Amino acid sequence: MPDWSRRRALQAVGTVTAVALAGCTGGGDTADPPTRRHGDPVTDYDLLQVRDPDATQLFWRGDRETADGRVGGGYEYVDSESTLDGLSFASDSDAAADLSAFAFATDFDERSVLLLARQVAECYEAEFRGVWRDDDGLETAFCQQLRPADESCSREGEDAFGVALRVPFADAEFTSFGSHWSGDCGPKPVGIDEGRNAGGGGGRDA
Amino acid sequence: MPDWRRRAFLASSVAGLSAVAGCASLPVVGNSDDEPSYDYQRLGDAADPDAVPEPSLYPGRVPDALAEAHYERGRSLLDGVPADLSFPNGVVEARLTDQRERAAEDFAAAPDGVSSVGTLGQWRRAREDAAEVRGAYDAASGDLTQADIADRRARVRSDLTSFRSDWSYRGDTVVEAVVVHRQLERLASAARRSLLGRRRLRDDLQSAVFAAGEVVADLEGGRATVADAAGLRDAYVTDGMDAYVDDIATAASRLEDVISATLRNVGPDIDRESDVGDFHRDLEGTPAAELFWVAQRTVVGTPNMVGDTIARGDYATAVASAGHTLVDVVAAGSAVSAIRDGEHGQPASTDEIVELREQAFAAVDDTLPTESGSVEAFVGWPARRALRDAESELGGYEFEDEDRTPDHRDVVRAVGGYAYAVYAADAVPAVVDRVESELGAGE
Repeated sequence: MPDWSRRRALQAVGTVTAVALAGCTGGGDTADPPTRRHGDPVTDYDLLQVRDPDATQLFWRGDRETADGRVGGGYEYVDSESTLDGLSFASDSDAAADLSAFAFATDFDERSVLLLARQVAECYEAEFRGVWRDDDGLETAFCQQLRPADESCSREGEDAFGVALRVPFADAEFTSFGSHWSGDCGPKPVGIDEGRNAGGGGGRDA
Repeated sequence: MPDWRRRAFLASSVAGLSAVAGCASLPVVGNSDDEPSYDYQRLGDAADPDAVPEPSLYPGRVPDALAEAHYERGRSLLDGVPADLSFPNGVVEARLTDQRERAAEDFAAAPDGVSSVGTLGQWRRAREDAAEVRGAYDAASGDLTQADIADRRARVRSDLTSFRSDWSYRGDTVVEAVVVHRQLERLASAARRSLLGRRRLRDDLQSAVFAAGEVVADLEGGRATVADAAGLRDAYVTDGMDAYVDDIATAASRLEDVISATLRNVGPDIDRESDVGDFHRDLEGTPAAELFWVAQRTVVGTPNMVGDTIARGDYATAVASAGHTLVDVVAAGSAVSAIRDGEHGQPASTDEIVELREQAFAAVDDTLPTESGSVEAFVGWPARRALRDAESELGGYEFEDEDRTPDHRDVVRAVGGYAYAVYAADAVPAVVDRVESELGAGE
């Protein structure tokens, strides 16, 4: 009989598995949450989260990225209508249409929009945990948690997950963007404003 | 691990060391012309942390019924989880299936002659693992509620209260009472921790299947731990034994003062802000520097630990902690004095390091008790700890899983650790005398 606690080992494996299942498609993602965030928390934001089980890409700039088999992910920082005009949104996805409508509804004289996308494992919900600003850019944080046992989902399945975050910065000239994803949501920290959720969420119904 | 096996490891590692000593083809790697070079491969091959002896501390009997109860309960919990699981959520199904298979491995055979508290603890953890699977399964099936969890928590709390209500630290002798009831205090503390509820569960447990399993496992562990504590106490205590709770509590409090006095008189004149630069010569990269860091680590802040333990009411644990702390304080004082006297520079050769290692093992062997339930058994622990840490350094075990050849820094650290182990072993007899005296042993 082993003299270690299997429960502790399984907890560790479970966390790693959750992160791995979420996939990572580029765009400055890191798998592990930082021990301490840098920059100031941004609390005056509007948030839209969408999911689409059928889409591979929700938005893209330039040519659609399918030739190498990669699925859509990454970020786009939009601080003007002309920048937004250079983006394409998937025409066959309601989730992408929602992101597009949210972005186009922005008053770019006062605010800007950060668009994020990545693949999320079908059996997990994604939850927005906050956004921070430093001199160079924006940093966002998300976590994932397992969906209820009685909800049907495939262990191997993945959904396109998109986020539009309207932040109170215009002409900010950000150059750095990052997202931290945690495989365990844990308790919410005190002192972080939830912001205004424009609808949708990390669940599959969004 | 049984004692004979450790001895065998020690013997084989020393023999192995001797065998490779004459091999001229082994690599010798040095970092610079100023730094002595050692045969790092030879040193790494010799190291074996498991070779450090760990005497059996618990003098009481471990009833067979305790491990058997964990086995039966664990099997019963697992029997409630079907092998062919099916849940709509594919991840839940896969993880539960995997957990069940792993937990079941520990129940392939019934316990056979469990005679140590360590092995009993392994059966307790196996039972916890089985409870975790069952708890997660019940949560996923909608058969576990918050009320169920509250009931289980209340039961553990009730069992623990009952166990603590009649606890007078009876023993054959006051020293044996310290050893026995220190073990029981550990178990009671673990049971108390199981009640803390580390995670806040969502109301809908089907959405928190694995977190629910962990909570159920913690509470099952708490229940099993109290049962073991009660079973061990019942097996040890007889009607004719004296109650020593006042003697042990008084000794713990007095030993806390003895630590302060010892720090003032023979302890090292160092604190949190001290540095190797305080010795006014360049110690960087020498065993002396490592010895200093070990000494500083072990004495700064440790007296508070004894006070905290007394405040919790864990008097036997406080006596043992005071014994450890006194050994560390005396050892650190000796170490710092030696560094001031210019000792513990770079060993000149691999052979010298081998000799220092053997001296450390011999010193630790001298501290070993001839019987369990003695003061030597727990007071000698800091020397064994230092020796085990040094062996891990020499083996290059830190960070490297595959390549376990130590580098120069590992070897220097190990040599500092061997030196500390010798100082700690040298401190043991005087500390044993003092602890026995404060306990009124033999009176």
